[in-house]
Amino acid sequence: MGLQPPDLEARDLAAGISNVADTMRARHGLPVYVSVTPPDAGKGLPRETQTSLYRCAQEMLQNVVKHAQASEVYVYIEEDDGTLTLSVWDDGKGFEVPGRVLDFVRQGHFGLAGLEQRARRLGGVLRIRSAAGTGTQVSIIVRLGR
Amino acid sequence: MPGWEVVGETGNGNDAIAMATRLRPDLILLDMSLPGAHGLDVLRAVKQASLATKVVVLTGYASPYLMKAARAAGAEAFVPKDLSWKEFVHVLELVLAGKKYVQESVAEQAASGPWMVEQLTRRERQVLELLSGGMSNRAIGEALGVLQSTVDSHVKSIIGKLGASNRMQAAEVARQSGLIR
Repeated sequence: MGLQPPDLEARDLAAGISNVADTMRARHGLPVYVSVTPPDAGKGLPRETQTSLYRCAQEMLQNVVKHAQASEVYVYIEEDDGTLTLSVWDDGKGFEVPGRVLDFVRQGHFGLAGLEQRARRLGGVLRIRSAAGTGTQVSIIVRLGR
Repeated sequence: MPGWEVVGETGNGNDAIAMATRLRPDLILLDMSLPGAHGLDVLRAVKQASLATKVVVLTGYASPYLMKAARAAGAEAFVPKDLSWKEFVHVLELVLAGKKYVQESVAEQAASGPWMVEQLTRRERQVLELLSGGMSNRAIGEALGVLQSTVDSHVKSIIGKLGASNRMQAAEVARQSGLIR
């Protein structure tokens, strides 16, 4: 875990994620848009936090490719009021969101259970919004200044 | 005008389709924002029923985006409602003579603007729908689970792609071009 992912060496979170988005677009033909608000969002985070969030974004995007049947994906990196939110929204088929983390595992959403763990390790929370017709949005919200 | 006869009039899109199919006029003046079937749907239906019927689209807002959609659907001319009477008659004569007409200023915009290639993303369409429903950026952000500033940048992109100058115009173009229902 101590190793920096190659994409993140000498880069910040947003640039690293943009790189992943480009790769996904090329490999899967899936349009992945990255929106960063404000433009320097996430830059002030400690290196390890950025790395961890970067890996979360990779996991979230892999989930979309594997399960969502999406035709479009947005990655949002947002900083506001001492909070950083990393969200991945897709326009795919969506799913019924389980009430508890344990149910993620029971229903086979291992990726989401893993994300929840990562979020907790960062002192943050995982939030999932999903509904038929509007796609799925998975967000990790962390307090800044940790 | 001498030699021209008005064979039918209606203020409803669905009636327009039925009348055009029955009457087969030489030319239809079509307002894009009608109750009932959408202007573009009327245009498509008319063209499907009779290719010989020429259609001149009238619109309150000359969006390049809308113009592109109307042309793709087979309209012979696309004119803003503030065109002078003289120019308007000239357009009708041109179209009846088998020519097509697009106002120069609109055509230039359409040819040079990025909207000729760029389409709205699904997410942008969602934002546009909510915006057209009268929601503020803050409320849209809450509905979609993103920050207001993120919505701001979506709206900016939408306005740019539609060739509109503000959110009101963007909503108007969206309604007129059938981007939203």
